[in-house]
Amino acid sequence: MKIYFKTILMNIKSQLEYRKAFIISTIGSFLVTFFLIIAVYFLFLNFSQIGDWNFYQVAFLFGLVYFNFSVAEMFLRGLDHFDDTIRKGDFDRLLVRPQNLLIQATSMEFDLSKLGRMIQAILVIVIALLKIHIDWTIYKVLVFILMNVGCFMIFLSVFVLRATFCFWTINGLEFMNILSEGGKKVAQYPINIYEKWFRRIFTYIVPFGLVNYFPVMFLFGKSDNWYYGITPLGTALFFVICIYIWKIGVKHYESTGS
Amino acid sequence: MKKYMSYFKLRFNVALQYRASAIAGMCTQFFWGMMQILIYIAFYENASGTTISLEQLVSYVWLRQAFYSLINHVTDGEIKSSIENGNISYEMIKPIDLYWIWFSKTISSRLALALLKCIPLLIITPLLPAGINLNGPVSFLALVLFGFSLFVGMFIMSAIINLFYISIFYTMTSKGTMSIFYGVLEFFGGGFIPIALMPSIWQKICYLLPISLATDLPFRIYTGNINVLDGLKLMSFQVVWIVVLIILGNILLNKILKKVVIQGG
Repeated sequence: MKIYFKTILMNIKSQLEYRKAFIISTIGSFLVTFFLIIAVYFLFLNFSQIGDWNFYQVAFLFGLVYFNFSVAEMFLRGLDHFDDTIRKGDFDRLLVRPQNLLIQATSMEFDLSKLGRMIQAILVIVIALLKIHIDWTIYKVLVFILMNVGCFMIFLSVFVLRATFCFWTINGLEFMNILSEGGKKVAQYPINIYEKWFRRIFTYIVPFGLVNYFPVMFLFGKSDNWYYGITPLGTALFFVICIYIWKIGVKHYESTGS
Repeated sequence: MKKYMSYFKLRFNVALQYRASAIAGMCTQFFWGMMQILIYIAFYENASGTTISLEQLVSYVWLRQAFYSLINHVTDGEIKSSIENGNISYEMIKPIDLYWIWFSKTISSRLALALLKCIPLLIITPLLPAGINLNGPVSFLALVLFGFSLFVGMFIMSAIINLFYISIFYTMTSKGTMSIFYGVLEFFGGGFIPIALMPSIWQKICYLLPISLATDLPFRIYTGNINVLDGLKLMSFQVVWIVVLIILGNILLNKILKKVVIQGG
């Protein structure tokens, strides 16, 4: 873990050296998320609500998803570009080191410019929370934190899964983006608005529903079931499964040679 | 002209060989379209006086997915890195025009990818259950105009992408500008939300810009959301824009190429 943070620190330093590029990328990532929330706002101008959810409630979910996605993108960039690592044969270098492979692969890159997206997402969450009436209790604060942890866990798992995919083929990676990009889009809205079969995919296979619909129902006081608040813990199971698949992938790995 | 055509053919054939990734891309497009439609269906339960009907919107989404490779913002990594690392100098010493080489490269890979992706999507999506399926064009004339405006739209998009390549000469990096480029193009092109669902003042702004003329207009003509007369008017804007963009690109490129210094070797 110590090594991970050291590598990250080096990465940050090297990015700050190119100041102009860094500033432009940060503005860029801010702008994209800004346009996205504007688009959601425009939708609500047309439709006023979706199911029984209003704009601010959806904005809260939007902020939650994009905040955790930006954290994931920032810290897990190395996994995101894992196909390059495999293609160049850099993974062999990692294999000979006496450190955890996953941590090494993750720390190969760090993308500070996602700060722009993160700031935007935090702004959205803050504005949404100001507009939504929530009876805060200690338990609800805990639920809020759990939601964030759970959401990050899902992105982490999906990134690991996507990287594992590279052990077999680097073609068709685009399809794996459905899990992260698609999940992001789906989880922006409360999952109960979708058709049943679709809802099931995003509850039981990629468990975005666990960090979005159930805890938020409890948080907003739409439901009194206290156990809705702890559903984000279910994402741990998803994470364990993904790590297991990763381990299988590593065993399967044959170098591309050079 | 002949040399540009041969570049075109070469790239076209290369792009056709990536069938596996085209299939994966097609599945992605299908899933992505499905997801959008499900979200819109949920929204339309509370609809009151939108400028586009759900039926039109569903067809709009499917067509956009089918022809996405023609009008998306994807840029060529090879060209980008060749400008960044200086390999572009090899191209510059050839007796060819950089601008038109890029142009033919962009268009050829786009046409090839679109060909691979659109046929299966255009076969599958009309067969889906009613309500989530692709409907036929509103009239034969609309279909003709759709094809024509999509074709011109592809040229507009390629000219915009060329401007992006030229900007790398000025900024020397594509990383940061890429995400700004992506955000602006997707938003004003109706990628985040269809232009028809924007407030009317924003719709007007969008149609003054060339992006939505390429990425939004053809599909709205097809679904009948924009009638033939308005469509023809906006298509004349398309022609004006394509001329402006190409002239602008050539001026900027020639200006910067005079200043480019090739360092060492």
